[in-house]
Amino acid sequence: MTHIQHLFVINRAGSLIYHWEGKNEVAEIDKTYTSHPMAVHLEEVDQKAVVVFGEKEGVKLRYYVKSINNSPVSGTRFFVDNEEEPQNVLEFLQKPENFPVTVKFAAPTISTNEKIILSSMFHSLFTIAVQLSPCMKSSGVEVLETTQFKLFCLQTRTGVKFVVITSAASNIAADTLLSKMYELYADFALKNPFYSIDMPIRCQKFEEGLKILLDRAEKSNGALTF
Amino acid sequence: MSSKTKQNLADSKKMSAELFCLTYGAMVTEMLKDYEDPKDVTIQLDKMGFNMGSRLADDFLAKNANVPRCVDTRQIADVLCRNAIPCYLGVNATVTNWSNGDRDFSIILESNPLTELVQVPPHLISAGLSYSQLIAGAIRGALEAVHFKVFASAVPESSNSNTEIRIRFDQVLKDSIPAGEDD
Amino acid sequence: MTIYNVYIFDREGQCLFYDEWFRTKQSGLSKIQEYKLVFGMMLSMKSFSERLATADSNQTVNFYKTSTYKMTFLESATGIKILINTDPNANGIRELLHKIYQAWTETANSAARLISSETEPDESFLKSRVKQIVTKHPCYV
Repeated sequence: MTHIQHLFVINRAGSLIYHWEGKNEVAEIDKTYTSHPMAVHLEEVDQKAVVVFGEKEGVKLRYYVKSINNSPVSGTRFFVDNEEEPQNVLEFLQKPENFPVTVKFAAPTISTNEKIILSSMFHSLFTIAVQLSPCMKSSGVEVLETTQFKLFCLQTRTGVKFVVITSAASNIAADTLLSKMYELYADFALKNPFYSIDMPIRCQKFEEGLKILLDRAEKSNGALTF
Repeated sequence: MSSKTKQNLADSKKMSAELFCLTYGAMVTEMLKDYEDPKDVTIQLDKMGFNMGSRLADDFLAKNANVPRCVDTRQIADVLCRNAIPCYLGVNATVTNWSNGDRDFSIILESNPLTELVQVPPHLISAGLSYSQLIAGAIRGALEAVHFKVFASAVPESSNSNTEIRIRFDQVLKDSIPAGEDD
Repeated sequence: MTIYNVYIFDREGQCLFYDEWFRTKQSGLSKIQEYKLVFGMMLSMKSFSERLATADSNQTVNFYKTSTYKMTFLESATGIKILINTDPNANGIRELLHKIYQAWTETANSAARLISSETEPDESFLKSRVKQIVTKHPCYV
């Protein structure tokens, strides 16, 4: 289990220009339901069949349906053997004649598209936090803590944001990590003449540098700096 | 942090100053052939410098976290001469010729790595070639990245004199300051 | 250490209570607009966190911090939301929020309110109670 879950680099306009995600095992679980209705309650959320109520036997809230009777589900649709037209998952599971049925549930993941949305959301939250400050000269959001994660943000004077998301239990010196990310960005993105400012970073050397940095950060968990 | 910067500079693979000087010279002479008017070459050098400066600004900030946010031109000049120019050009610089209510000032480079072996023909100078305009452009680009609009020009060098960069402060680019960075 | 201000919202985003102590900068908006913005930001922050966290159980947003202040959130199961701005290094703010929540429920459900549902909650009484709680907190200086 690693502590660092995500890295984002967000440009001045709030667009995502780089992201990295820790490879944590995505939990999956197979369940066979013998009779209708199922014990878990599913609804369509963001074009997926998602568990919204009735957490049971390892199937947790926000898990989505990944396959039915070993036939993969894309969005909310899947193919029943030998049929031409895809079927809707939610409708299929409403019909008692389709039972018993084996359903594979998977823990939620974040698509690149969602990361782009999250970045621009964070960009505006950051700005609003400045406006709502009860005292002068406030920066935007530097730390955000929930029961699930800690988010740390460094905005440079030129307006680029570096964001790192760690587990709630992490004790990694995030400010050190962020300033070292900034150095990597300055070295391997900006000094590369073929990189255009504010555009997505696609650079092997940047990735390599980041990988070394992340390894060091993970190992340093608990230390004041690294 | 600053000791570390020096360390980095010492560590980095260094290019011979002569080779650098020759490369720059070859580029400028090639440009003089491509553009008929030496003034256009000055403009191009300024653009190239600007692009370099706007990238180096982040490099500078990333590696010098303790540099304060500048609030006046004296401070800007100080950071340029004390930190930025020694770090990137490897030479010392001084500030003089303050005028126009501290809006205008000159930075004098103790020596100029671009012109070490160069003698610019007088007719090109009088036709508007400013050989070291790259440095002026870089200063303009770097300051614009931290939201200061300035005009910068390299005063055409007469032989044997030090390179002078004349800088005029124009305005603070309020609209481009990111939220949470303005005072 | 400082405690700046406190907002209490109901489920629909109506601001039920606001008071401030050491606030030195206003948002430049009318109070009504500011309440809307605060409530909206809190909802976005919740939705942002829910989308970002892929771990399985429910989560709550604890706080966010800037260079000069920290906004701590408390949401009751009934949907009452209390937000308080303090110094970024303030401790024990969660407990403080619970006390304010208690004071609010006691005032809102007081005998007078139960007899006639049209009686407005006693604003000044609540104000003085909240003030009492806040000023007693070690972070209030």
